Amino acid sequence: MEKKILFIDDEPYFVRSLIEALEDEGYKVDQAVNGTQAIEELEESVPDVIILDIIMLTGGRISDTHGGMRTGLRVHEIIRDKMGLKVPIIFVTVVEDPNAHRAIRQLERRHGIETSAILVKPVLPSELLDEVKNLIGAA
Amino acid sequence: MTRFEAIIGNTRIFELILEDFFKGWPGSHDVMPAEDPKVRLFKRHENFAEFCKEIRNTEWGARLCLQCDADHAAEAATKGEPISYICHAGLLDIAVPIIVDGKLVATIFCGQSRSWNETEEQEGQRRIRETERKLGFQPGELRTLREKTPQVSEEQVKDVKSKLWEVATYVSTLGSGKVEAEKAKRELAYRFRESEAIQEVMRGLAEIVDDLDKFWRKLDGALTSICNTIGATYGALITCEKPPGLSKPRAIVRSVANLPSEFIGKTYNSCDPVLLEVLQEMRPKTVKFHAHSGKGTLCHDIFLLCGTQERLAEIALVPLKLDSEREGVMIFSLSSASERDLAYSPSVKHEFNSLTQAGAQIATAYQNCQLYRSRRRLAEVQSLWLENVSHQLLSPLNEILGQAENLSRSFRRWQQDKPERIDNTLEILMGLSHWAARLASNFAWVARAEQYIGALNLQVEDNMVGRLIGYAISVQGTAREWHLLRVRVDRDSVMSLNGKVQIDRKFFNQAVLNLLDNAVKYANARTEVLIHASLSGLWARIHITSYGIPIKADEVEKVFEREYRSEAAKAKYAVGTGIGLTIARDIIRLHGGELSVEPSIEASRGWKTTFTITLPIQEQLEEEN
Repeated sequence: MEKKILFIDDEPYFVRSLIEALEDEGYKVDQAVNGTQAIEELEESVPDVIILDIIMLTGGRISDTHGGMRTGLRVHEIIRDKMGLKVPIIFVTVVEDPNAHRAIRQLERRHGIETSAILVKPVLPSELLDEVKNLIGAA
Repeated sequence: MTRFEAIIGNTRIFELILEDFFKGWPGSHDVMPAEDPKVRLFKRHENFAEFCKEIRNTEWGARLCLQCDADHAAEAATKGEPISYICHAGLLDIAVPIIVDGKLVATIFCGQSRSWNETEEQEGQRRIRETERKLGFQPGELRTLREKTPQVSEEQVKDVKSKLWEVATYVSTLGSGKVEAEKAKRELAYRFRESEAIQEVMRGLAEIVDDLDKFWRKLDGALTSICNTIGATYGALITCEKPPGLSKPRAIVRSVANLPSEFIGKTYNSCDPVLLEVLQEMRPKTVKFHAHSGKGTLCHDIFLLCGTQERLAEIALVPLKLDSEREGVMIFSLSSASERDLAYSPSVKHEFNSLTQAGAQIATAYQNCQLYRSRRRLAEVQSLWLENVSHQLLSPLNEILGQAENLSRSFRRWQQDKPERIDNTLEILMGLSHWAARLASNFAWVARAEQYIGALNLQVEDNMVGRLIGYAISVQGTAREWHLLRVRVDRDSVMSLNGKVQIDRKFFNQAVLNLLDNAVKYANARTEVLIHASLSGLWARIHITSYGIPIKADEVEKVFEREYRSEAAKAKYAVGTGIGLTIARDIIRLHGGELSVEPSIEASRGWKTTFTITLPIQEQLEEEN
C-alpha cells in the first residue's frame, strides 16, 4: 500500500526539493501551509509520517501560544493532546532552540512516544529520506 | 512654653516690674497667654478682691470670669489697644493686648475696682444682682462685698492704661525682633529641607526603569516627600493627554501621595478647567477647589477621597511638560493653611520655585524612562527584523541546496528517463538564485538607503522591451513552478518606451523585480501577469497587472509603507519582509517618477491589481528623436 506523508510548512516553495525527492522515492506527499490546513488534512486521513516545520509565521486560525512564531509547537500539541494521534513526526526548524526542543521531547514522552528526528535547516533531501525510511521503511 | 514666655525669656523679671508698677492699684493683675485662656502666668489669687474670690469659689462663677476675660482679650486684640470695661460681675477691669507681628501673644489684665463713672457704676450694680441670681447667692450678699471694693478715678484708669500700653509695646518690639530672627532661621532650614527633598526625588527617580508603571510607583514616594516638605496634606500627579480620535484631552491620575491607591489610574474624559488653565499658562498657581464641584470631576473626587469636611480647599497646581503628547499637573492641597503657621511659612513664590524645580526633575526622569523604553523596543524590533531577514534568506538558499543535491543524485537517471527534469531543476535553481540575490539587495538597500540618494547612474534605455522580457524570464521559472502562472510582456506597447526614459539599470532591475515578485507571489494559479506600457504627455508608464488577492482602497498607500503586509498577503504567503514595495517606490522616485497602485477590481480570475511605474519622458531626447 502507498505510504503517505503530510508535509506541514508555510513556505511550500522552498521545500519543493524535499517533496520531489520523497515523491521520486514513491511516497505520496500531501502539503499543508499552516496549522489549520494541517488539522483539516489530518481529520480526513492520517498519514504514515508527518513532517512539521516548528517556526511558521501563520497558523491560519491557530494562534501561536508559544510566541516567536512557533506555531508548529501548537500544531504538535493539537495532534497529540486533542486528536490523540500517535503518528511519528519529523520536526524541521530553521533555528536550534533548546526550549522548543525540550517542549517537543516532553510532550512526546508524556504520550509514550520516542521523539523522532528534529532536523535543523538546511535539510538535504537525502537526509530527510533517510529519516523517513528509518521510521516507515521504503515506499 | 508659651510664645509670650519665649519672647520675654525671664518672666520673673516681668512679674517684678508689674508688681512694682501696680503698687498703688487696689485690685489684682495677671497675664493671660493667647494659647490658653484658662492659664494665668503669675496666679496672683492672694491679691484678689474678697468679692472676686467669693465668685471664683463657685465653679460656675469661675467659668464666667474666665469667659469674660477671654472675650475682652479678643476685643482688645481686635482694637489693637488697651480697653477698660465692666466685667460680668459688675467691676471695672482693664485688658491690654501684647501683639507681635500682627498676632496676639498675651493679654495683661488688671482691675477688680469700682468705676468712678456713675453710669458704669449703675450698670455694675445691675450685673451684680444678675450674678447673685445666677450663682444662687442671697440677694444683697455679693453686693455688700462689692461695696467694699475701692473705687478708682478716671485719671488712675487712664494712667494705668497708657503705662501698660507702653510695656506691651516694648514687649511687642522685643518679640518682633525675635520673630524676624526666628523666621529667617526657619526659612533657611525650610529651604535646606526643600532642597533635600528635591534631591531625594532625584535620587529615587534617577534610577531609570523601562516600565512606566514602576516609574509612577516611584513617583508616589517622591510626591509624598514633597508633601511633607511643603506641609501639604495630599498630592497627586495627573497627566492630560489627547487620545487619537478624541478632540478633548482626558486626565488620568498617575501617582498619589496620602490619597487612597484606588485613585491611581482613574480617568476623566474631560480635564477640569483649572487644569487646562494652568497647562495653558505653564506656570504654577494656587486655586480654590470647591467641595460642591460637579459630580464626576477630579475636584469632586478629591474631596470625596480625602474625606475632608472643609467646603473649600486651597490647591497648588504645578504644570509639567512630560513629552510632546503628554502634559501633567502636580496637585498639592494647601487646605491645612489654617493649621500651618502662616507667620513662619515662607513665601508662596519660594514654594513655587521649588515645586517647579521638582516638576522639571520629574519630567526629565519621565523622559529618560521613555527614551530607555524606546531604545529597548528599537533593539527588539531590530533583532526581530534581523531574525526575519536571515530566515528569509536562508529559505531560498536551503532550497538551492536541496535542488542541487537532487540534481547531483539523480542526474544520470534523469538523463536517461526524464531529461526535462534537468532543465526544470536548472530553471528553478536560476529562479531561486535570483530570488536570494534580490532579497540580499533589498536588505542592503534598507541598511544604506540614504547613500543611494543622488547616486544613480542614469542612462537612456534603448531596449526596454528586452529588459522587461529579461525580468519576466527571471521570475517565470518560479511562477510556473508555483502557480502555473504565465508572465507576459506586451511587446508593442513597451516598444514605445525605447529611448524615451532614463534609468539606472541596477536599481531599476531591483524595483521592477520586486514588483514582479509580488505579482507572482500573490497571483491566483493559472492566471497571467502582464507587463504593458503607455505614453501620455510628458510621462511614460509601465503597468504590471495580475489577478490574485485584493488591494483595497484604504491600502493603496499603506502597501508602500515599510513592513506593512495586509492580512490577505500574510494568509496567502506567510513569509515576507514588507519592504519590497517600499524599496521599489523609493527607487522609482529617485528616477524622478512615481510608483502607484489603484484599488483592485473584482474579476472572474481573481482581484485585478495594476501597479504603475511612471517615469518622466526626457524632452531633450524626444526632440533629438
